[in-house]
Amino acid sequence: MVSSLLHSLVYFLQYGVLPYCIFTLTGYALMTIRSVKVLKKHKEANINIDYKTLNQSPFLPSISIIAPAYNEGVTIVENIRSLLSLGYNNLKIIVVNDGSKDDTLEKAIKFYNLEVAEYYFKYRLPCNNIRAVYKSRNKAFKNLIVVDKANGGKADALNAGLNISYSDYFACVDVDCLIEPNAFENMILPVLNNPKEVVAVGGIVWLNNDSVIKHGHMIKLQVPGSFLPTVQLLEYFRAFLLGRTAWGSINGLMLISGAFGIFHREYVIKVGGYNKKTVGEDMELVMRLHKYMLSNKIPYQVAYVPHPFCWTEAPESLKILSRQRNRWARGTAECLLLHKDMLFNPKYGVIGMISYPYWLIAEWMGPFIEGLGLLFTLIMIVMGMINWHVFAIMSFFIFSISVFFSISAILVQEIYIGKYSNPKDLMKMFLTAIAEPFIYHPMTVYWAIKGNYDLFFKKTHSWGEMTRTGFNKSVVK
Amino acid sequence: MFEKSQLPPERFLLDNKTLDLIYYVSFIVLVVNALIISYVLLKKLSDKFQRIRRDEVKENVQEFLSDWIIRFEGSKEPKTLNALQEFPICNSLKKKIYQEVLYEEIFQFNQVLLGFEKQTLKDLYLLLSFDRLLSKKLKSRKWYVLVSSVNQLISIEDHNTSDISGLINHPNQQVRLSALKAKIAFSENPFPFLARLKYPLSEWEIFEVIKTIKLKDLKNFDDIHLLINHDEPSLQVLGINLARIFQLLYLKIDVKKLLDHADLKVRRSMIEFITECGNGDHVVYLKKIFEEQLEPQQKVILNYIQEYGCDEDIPFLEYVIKNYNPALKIWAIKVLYHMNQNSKIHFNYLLSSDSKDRRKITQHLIDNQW
Repeated sequence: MVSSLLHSLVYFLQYGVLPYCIFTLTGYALMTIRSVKVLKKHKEANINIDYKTLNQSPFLPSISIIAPAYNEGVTIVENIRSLLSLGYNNLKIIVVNDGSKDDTLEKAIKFYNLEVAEYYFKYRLPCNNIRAVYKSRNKAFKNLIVVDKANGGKADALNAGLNISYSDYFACVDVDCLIEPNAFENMILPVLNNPKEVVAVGGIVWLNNDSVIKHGHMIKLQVPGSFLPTVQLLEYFRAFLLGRTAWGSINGLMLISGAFGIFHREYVIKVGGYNKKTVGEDMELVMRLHKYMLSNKIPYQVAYVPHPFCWTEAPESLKILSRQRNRWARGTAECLLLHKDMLFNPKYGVIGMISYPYWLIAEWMGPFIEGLGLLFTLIMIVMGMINWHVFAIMSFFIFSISVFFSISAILVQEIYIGKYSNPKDLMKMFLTAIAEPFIYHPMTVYWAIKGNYDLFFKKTHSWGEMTRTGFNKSVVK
Repeated sequence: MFEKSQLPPERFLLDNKTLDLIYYVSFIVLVVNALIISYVLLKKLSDKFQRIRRDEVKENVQEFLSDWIIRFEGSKEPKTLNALQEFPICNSLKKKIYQEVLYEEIFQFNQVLLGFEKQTLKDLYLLLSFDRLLSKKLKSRKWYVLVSSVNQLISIEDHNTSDISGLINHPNQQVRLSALKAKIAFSENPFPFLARLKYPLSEWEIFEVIKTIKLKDLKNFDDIHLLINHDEPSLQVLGINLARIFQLLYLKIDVKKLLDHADLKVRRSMIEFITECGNGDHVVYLKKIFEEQLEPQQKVILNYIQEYGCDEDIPFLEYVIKNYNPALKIWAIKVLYHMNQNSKIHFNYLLSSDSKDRRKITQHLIDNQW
């Protein structure tokens, strides 16, 4: 009886899982091919750009960096220094202290000689009370503005920064991120070169664990020493190099990383700024921008620059990583739910017909289907009903294909970006790619399912805290 | 090796044949994985060795170039192949790697040299027939090769090698821009061919074209009207910006037509032009069209009022301060501060105003030294 029930279930699952596998594998393959084309073009295009001239351009739009800081006392001075050293000609740095409980604000005030300034702004976007705006007495830091506000979360802090900013574009940057000195000249190029309104530009975010950083500058980049950050770096390779590069090229990008991206200030204000009710505020904003521009029939572009300009620290403990992945899963589900009207809606073009369905099927449903498969296999093993022949072939297939996409990402990185000079680093990445499907991937599936469970059944909407060790941890010089 | 499927075939989508196929596909993918890993690691190692070899060659070539320039310094002696044979590097120059590195280094050196030394280097370039190589590269189908070749053509100031007119309307934007810069650099009157462009110019291209024209020390701007009266807005923007930068006050321009232009960038450029090169004739008209402009145009109009406004415009600035967004409010108060003596008095009045909002903007302005 049970046996025939399970046989029927196998029969039933095949019709669901097989098309899903074909859909996702085709998706990955197409994205890989597309990314290679785009990266090749980007690499060739970059050979002849004179960034020095670009930086002198009177057409260079002004940019405000908005960096929310919460309990960043350990790293705040170094992080602000790193932001101040950026080369862009028309730049303001707005650090928003989001009601930190530690000495973040005090350290910034002391080191940068800050004082309360009369600063005119309006609450054009809703945010918690802005207690004070600080500017430095030292003219060397005239581009620095520090905002002190009541705690309200990252989205709230970004909205506060937007109320303070008067620039054409703003960049949302995690304060602990390390930005390449020429990042903004590169990121602004799509704005200058595009006849359409460029409402947002995304860039690649990569990991700096165990790299050598001195005075806010990357001295030597290397693959992290331990497994957990290395496997995350591999994920970043796949996501940023193969995935987003492809989406960006067809104006189908639904997510610009909250750690680093630039946005058109006025359009963001027009769409109502960051949504405080979701933990996926970065993705939600991009979706809302798409919706606004497409609904109002304004020709636009959400551009993507496939080059790493931003380095961030990956969680090194399972506890913090699980919290981050739980949040990402909740964020994705929330955004997809909030904009469900876009699904298969021809009014929303590429986003409605391709990007959204892909995110729904491959990104959101993926962990459930994989989880179900794993659970089902376990039941079959326990009941002694597993067909080892089929199981072995399918496992071998899944393993070789998943390793293939990881290795392709490493290869693409090596050919078009080439940031890691040491062959040992690449060897480490290859070994990680082989180990990932057995050790790491099942955990990400679990965290994603847990995130959805927390969202739908426990109604969790909080961020959780990230413990920073700071750039100085990596400094060896 | 494995036990064959125990499921009845009609219940299972994948029959044994398909499973075998999946097995072989997986095996092939695994082999491909191994090949990619080997390729990447081997490439990494080979790159390392090639870099070392290239650095060695580069050092020799740089030494040769310095010696070549010193050898002919102050001398009118013709640069011949016989003279080249005096140098120990001569035999090595037959090797491909030496030729490639020498070709690149000539352009590198060329960037930092002037006058006689630059000419000596160009003579070497011609002696080694690198002009023919460049000419060949200018027929490449790869766009990035075209861009770098055109840039090399500009750098070596080689007017004769190849006609690059065809590249001006090349489908690739980067090629078009390089060819445009080269054409401008080699032409006495760039406006007629600029007016024949088939593609609109981006802001970045406009900036690059202006920069190249500025370097040329042009005397004759008679044909600039071909751009200002063009049908393509980006060419109009280019023409108006050039007219503003070169202060072409004598031009007869239909100001109203361009201020009412459908394209925002043309309108903005025109307001900037009359702010810098015009007179106060247009204050009333600009105030009238202020409402329908976007923020960047509105800021430029306020700049115009700052330049040419009078006491009668103070109520208008007041209106902007009262009704527009914070960025424009700040801009209008800045205009009030700079426009004239009476408006400055009004600015001071705002400082002690009953309205907390206005007091705050004014103070903001002072604090931020705008």
